[in-house]
Amino acid sequence: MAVTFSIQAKVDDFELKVAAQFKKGITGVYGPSGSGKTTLLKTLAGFIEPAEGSIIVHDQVYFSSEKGINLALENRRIGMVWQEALLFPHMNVEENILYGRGKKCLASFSASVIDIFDIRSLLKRMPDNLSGGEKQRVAIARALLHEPDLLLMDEPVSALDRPARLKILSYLQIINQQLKIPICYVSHSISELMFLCHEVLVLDSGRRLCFDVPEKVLINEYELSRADEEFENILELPVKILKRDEKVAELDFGGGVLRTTFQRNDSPQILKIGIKARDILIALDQIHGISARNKMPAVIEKIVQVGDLVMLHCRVNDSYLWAEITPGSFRELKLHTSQIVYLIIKSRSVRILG
Amino acid sequence: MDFNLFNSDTWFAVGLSLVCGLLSAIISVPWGVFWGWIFARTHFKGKVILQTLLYLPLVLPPVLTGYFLLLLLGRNAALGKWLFELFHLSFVLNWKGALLASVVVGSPFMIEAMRQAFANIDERYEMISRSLGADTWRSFFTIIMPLARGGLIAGFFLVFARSVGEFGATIILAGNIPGQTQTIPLAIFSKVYAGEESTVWPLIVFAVIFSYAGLAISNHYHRHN
Repeated sequence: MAVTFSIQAKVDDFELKVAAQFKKGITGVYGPSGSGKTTLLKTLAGFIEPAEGSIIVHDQVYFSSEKGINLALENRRIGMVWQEALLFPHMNVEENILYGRGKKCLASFSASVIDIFDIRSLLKRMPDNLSGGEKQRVAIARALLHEPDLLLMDEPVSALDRPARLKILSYLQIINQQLKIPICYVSHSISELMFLCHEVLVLDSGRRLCFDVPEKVLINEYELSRADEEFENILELPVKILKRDEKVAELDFGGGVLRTTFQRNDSPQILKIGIKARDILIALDQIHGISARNKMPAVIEKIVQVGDLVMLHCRVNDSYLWAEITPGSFRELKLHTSQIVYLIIKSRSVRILG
Repeated sequence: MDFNLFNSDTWFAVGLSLVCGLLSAIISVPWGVFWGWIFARTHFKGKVILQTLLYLPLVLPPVLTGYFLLLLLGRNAALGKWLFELFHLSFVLNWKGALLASVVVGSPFMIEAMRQAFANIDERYEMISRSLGADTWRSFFTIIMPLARGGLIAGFFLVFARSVGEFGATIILAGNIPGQTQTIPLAIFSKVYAGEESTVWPLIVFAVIFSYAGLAISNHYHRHN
């Protein structure tokens, strides 16, 4: 286990009491405002001292009330990234990212992080002259260059616009795969968590509500009802054929084909795509003579009523999509679990994200 | 032009005011940084009482502040006696008294400037710097102090401006001895009181220049903090 903790911490009138084990990879932390997400991060980092419990990262005891151990913040190897980049404003980018490395010159590790985050051209710039996305890339690089055993991120992309957000998300996947640093990722966005995390810890009022793979956690009606965003299925799919004359890419999805409009000049092997749950139509029978390019049989695995909407978890061979319909259509179609339906998606509704 | 316009006592008063202003601003720096940090970042019982006590010279009649200092540091007072016997240090009727009066009356401005500067710094900067391996001191000197720089400069020049204008506490503790303890305000007072108004204007010019410059610089950095 990369991170094992069991903590009880009090901040003013709020009490956080939670225990969990994080594996390597990206673990999400989800919950409403005031549920204790940030308090959890601050406690793991050592900024809040728990009244009781233990925190162990990679076999090193950071905190143990039993053994009387409480490592100071600077002696824990923890990287922190917040919603705001919080670059030191009086230092340029290079000084910022080397702050945690003392006077050591740019080693190969530094060089690789600088390349992954594509910030070599920014090194001499001051933070004031960077865009939001650039700042956040520098902030993540700064945290990584200290070679942390655990990276804590508190809504690191929520202040960014969509393109910058997707760029950072793909960087996070790369560092997770290449650098093998466990990441604890706090977010309000179900799509982000679905995309990034292999497990999600859900907090409510300072308590652990559930902790499981994102699909299971997000099926929970309680959680979906709290999502204030439109749900978007985010997938990474291999490219089968690029039909440049038709401006269409055919992607491998669930053993079949998913078509999307494609107007770029490059030839990617894999495309990251997003399909909004409300852009997927449900039909009881196969329909002919319809303009939508994607028609595929699927099995309804779960049905979740969320406020005034119904969410269907549909399986297409070994892949899944969430589709959203109104309670009226749901009643009219008399849908039930295990039923076979046809998913209809316009190729323009399959949006390329990266 | 009046021959006595720039006599040695006038120059002495200008010089003493300048030295007292600068020295009291310098002395106020560690004092203001220390208490500013305590008041901005810590919580303890009696904090308000202590803060009020340290800020009291801001509103107390300066004459009274001077009188309290005299009661505390006079040759017959316990502390004054002790300082004199051990270090041969006295603050009564000499320039050191003028400096001390300036420090006591001016330093609350520095404490408040630093308190505000520290309180305005997002504590997560410190969290990040320490998570990057910096201990408390490195974090303080490489991150917190540079971020509080504007407050420090604003406080410095505010203390300077206040010190240059100091009158009440100085006259009680240091006296009004031309060429020894007489600062600009005391010299102006003496001249006006003695009816020598024709020779007072150079002092007025200096007083206005010092005060205006101090306040202008302070305001500039206060806004940029």
